[in-house]
Amino acid sequence: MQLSMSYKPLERYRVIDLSQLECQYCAKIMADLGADVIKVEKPGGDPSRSRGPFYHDRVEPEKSLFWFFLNTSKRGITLDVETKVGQGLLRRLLEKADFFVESFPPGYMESLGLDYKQISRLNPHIIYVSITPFGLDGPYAGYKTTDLVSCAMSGLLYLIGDTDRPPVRISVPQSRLIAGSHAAMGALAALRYRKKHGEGQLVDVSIQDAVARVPYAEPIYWQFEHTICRREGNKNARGSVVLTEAWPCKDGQIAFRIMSGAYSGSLKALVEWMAEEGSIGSFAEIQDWKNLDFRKYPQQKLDEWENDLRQFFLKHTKGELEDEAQKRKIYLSPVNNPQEIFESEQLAARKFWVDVKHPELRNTISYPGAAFKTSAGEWGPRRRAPLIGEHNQEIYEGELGLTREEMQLLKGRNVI
Amino acid sequence: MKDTGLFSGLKVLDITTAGTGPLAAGFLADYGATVVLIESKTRPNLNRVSAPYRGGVANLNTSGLMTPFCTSRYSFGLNLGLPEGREIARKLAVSSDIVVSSYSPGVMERWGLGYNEISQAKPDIIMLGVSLQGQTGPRSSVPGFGFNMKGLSGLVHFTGWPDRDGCGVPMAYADTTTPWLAAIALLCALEYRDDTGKGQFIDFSQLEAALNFTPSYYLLDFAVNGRIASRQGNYSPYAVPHGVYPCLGDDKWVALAAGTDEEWNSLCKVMGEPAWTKEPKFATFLLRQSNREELDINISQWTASQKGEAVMEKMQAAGVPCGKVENSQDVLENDPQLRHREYFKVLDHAGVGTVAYHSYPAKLSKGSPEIGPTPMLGEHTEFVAKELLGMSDEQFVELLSKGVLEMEL
Repeated sequence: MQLSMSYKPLERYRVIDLSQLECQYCAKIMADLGADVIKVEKPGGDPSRSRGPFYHDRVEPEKSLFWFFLNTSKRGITLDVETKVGQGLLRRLLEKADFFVESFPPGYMESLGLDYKQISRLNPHIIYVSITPFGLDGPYAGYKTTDLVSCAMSGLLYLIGDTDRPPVRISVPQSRLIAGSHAAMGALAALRYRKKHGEGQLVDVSIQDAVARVPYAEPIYWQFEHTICRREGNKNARGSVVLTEAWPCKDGQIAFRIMSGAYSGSLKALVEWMAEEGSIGSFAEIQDWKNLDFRKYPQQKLDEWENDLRQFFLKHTKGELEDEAQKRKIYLSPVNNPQEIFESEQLAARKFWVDVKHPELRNTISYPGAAFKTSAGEWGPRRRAPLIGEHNQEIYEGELGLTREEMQLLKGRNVI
Repeated sequence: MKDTGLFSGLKVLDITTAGTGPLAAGFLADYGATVVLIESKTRPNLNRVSAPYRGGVANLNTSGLMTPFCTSRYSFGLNLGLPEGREIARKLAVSSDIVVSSYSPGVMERWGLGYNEISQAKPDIIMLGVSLQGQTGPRSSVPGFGFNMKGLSGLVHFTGWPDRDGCGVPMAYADTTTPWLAAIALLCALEYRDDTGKGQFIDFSQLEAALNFTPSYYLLDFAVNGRIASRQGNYSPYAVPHGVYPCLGDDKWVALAAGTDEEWNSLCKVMGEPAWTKEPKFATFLLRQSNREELDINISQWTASQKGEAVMEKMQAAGVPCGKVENSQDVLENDPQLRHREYFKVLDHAGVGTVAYHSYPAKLSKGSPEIGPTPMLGEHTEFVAKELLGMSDEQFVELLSKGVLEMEL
C-alpha cells in the first residue's frame, strides 16, 4: 500500500542522529513522524550496514535490511567526527538542530569536545539524547555491553528458557530497541519542557534500565513473598503457581493461559467447546465458574487441567483455534512466524504494510508501517534509508555553504 | 492537585485495564499531569485481581501488580454499568485534554464515550484507544491480554532453542515494551494540537506496535528473501563465544560475548591462556563459530568454579562485554549501577505497603518525574466528585447511596 504520509507532527524539528545499532530506532520513529533526521555516518558507511539480514542475501553495505529498517525516512551524510574539521562541521549542524541522538560509550563525546556541556553552550535549546549501556555515570558506566549482557544484567534473561539449559535471550536483539523507544519518549517529553521553559536539556538513557522495565511481576514476588521467579520453559512460574503460556497444537503453537475470577469466562468458554467435542475431562468437576480461583487448587490439579487442555489443543490447528477463540471469546492466539504475520488478513485490512521504493534495487519493498494509527492522517516510513553520503551535497553545499572545491578536499582527506 | 511537573495542568481521563493503557497514561501522571482513573468493584482492573497480594491477603487494594502499572493517579470509583455513571464519565471526558481507554473495540462507543460523541462536545480532544489488534479489521473483536501478543507478534517463535518448540517469555512482554510507543503517540498528538488546534483519535493496536520489537527487521527478510527467520538459542553471528555460562551457586550464570579478535585475546588472557585456547580450531572468528559447542564447554569449565560477579569484573576490566545474570533480588538489592541511578523508588502506601516502583530509563536533566504510589480503589472519589466535577455534598451522598460512585473499600 502506497500511502501519502500526511501526519507529520514533528515536521518542524531537526534531529542529528549519530546513534548505532538498534539505538537508531529512536530517530527512526521521529523521522517516520515527520522530523527532518540527518543520519551521520563514518566515511565509507556506518558499521550497522554490516548487520544482516541482507537484500537477496548479498552482504553489501547498501543491502542491509537491518539498516533499511532502522533508518527509514532519514537523510544521510558521511562525516569523520574524529577529525577537527569533522567536529567543526558537526558543531555547525548542531547549532541549528533541535535534537541530537548518540550512543557512544560515556566519555567519548567529551573527548571530541561534543558532549552536552559544550554543545549546549553553542545551542541552549538542543535536546541531547545519550543512549549508553548503563547510563552516563555510576560504577558500571565504563562497562561494555551487547544485547545478551544487557538482558542478563536487568533481570530479564534469568526468566527465559528451558529448565535443563542455560537462560536464553530473545533471538531478535531487544535491549537497544526498547532503549530506543524510551529515548524517543524522553526526547519528546524534553520537547514539552522546552516549549514551557525555553531550554533544552540532556536525556540520559540507560539500556540496562530500559530492559529492567520489562519484568513487572517478578520484583514484586521477591518483595512480597521472598520468592525468586525462575525460568520454566513455556510455563510462567510465579509464587507457588506454574501455568503454561505457550502450547503445542496440531500444526504449531498457540498462546493461552488459565485465568480465573472476573476473567474466568475465557477458560469457561474453552471448556464448553471441549464439552461439545466430548473432551471435557477433569473440568467436569468445576461447578462455580464465577468464583473460580486457580490459586485455591493444588498444582497437581492445575497440571491435570492443563493436560486435558494440551490434548485438546493437539487435536486442532492454529487456524481452527484462532477462529473459535474469536467466536467464543477465549483469550487464545496463534504463535505466528514472520510469514504468517506478513500474510495476516488483519494487518492487510488495516493497511499496515507500507510500500517503500528502492530505485537502486529496481524494487519496492513492503515495510512494517506505523506503530499506531491516527485519525489525523497517515504516517510511517516515508522513503527508504539513505545511501552512503546520499545527502552530502544537499547538506554541506546547500545548507552549510561549502564550495565544490572544499567538498572535494574533504572527500580527498576522507573527512566526508 | 500537582502544580509542578512537566505536564502539570494537563488533564487525562484513564479508562484502562491491564498494562499498556495504564503505562501510557502513567507516563503523563508521573510527570505531573492530573490523571483520573475510573475504576469499579464490579469491573476491577485486571491488576487488582492478580497475585501477589500483600501479606497473602487478597483484596482489591493489596495486589502488588497494580504498582508497576498504576502510579500517580486519582482513583475515582465509578460504576460505568449504570447510565448515571456513564454520564459522569462523559462529563469528565469532555473536560479532559486526553482520554485513554483499553477496553475491547466497541465498548467505549456502547458507553457513549466514543470519539465521535466526545469530539462533538470537545473538538480538540485527544483519545487513545488501546486494543489487541486495532479498532478495525476482521480480528478486531478478538479479546485478550498481553500474553496473547506473545503468540501474535511471533515472540514465542523467536525465543528458545532451535531444536525445540519456542518457549517464549513468561510474562505479558508487550505490556511493558509497547506502552512507550503509545506515550509517543500522545506526545505527538499534543504537538499536533499546539500547531493545528485539532484533536485526534489514536487507534493503538498492540500488535502493530509489538511488531517493531519482534520480528522487527526480520519481516523484511521474509518480504524480500522469503526466509522465515527463527529462534537461535544464544547464537549470534556477530560474537563468539556468545553465551551464558554456569557459575558458583544455585542457578547462577554469567553472560559473555567476544565480538572481535581483540576481545577474544583479552578473554583468553583473563582465563590465564589455557592450552586449549591455542588450538588451531579456535584460531579465527570463523573457526570459533564452527567449533562453538566445544568452545562453550571449555569456557563453562573455567566459569563454573567462580562467582558470576568476579568473572564479570575481570572480563570488564579487560574490555570484554560480560555481565552476571541477575534475578529479581539482584536487580532490586545487589546491583550498584541501578542503585546509583536510583532506578527503583521506594514508596509507602496503605493497601500495598512499601514497594519499589520502577522509574524511567530516560533520565531528564531537567524536570524529573514525581512518582506517586498506586491508589486504593476509590481513594479519590470524593476529591474528583467535589473538586474536579463540582458536585454538592447532597449530590455526592446520593450518588454514593445509589452505587454510582464507589468509595475506598
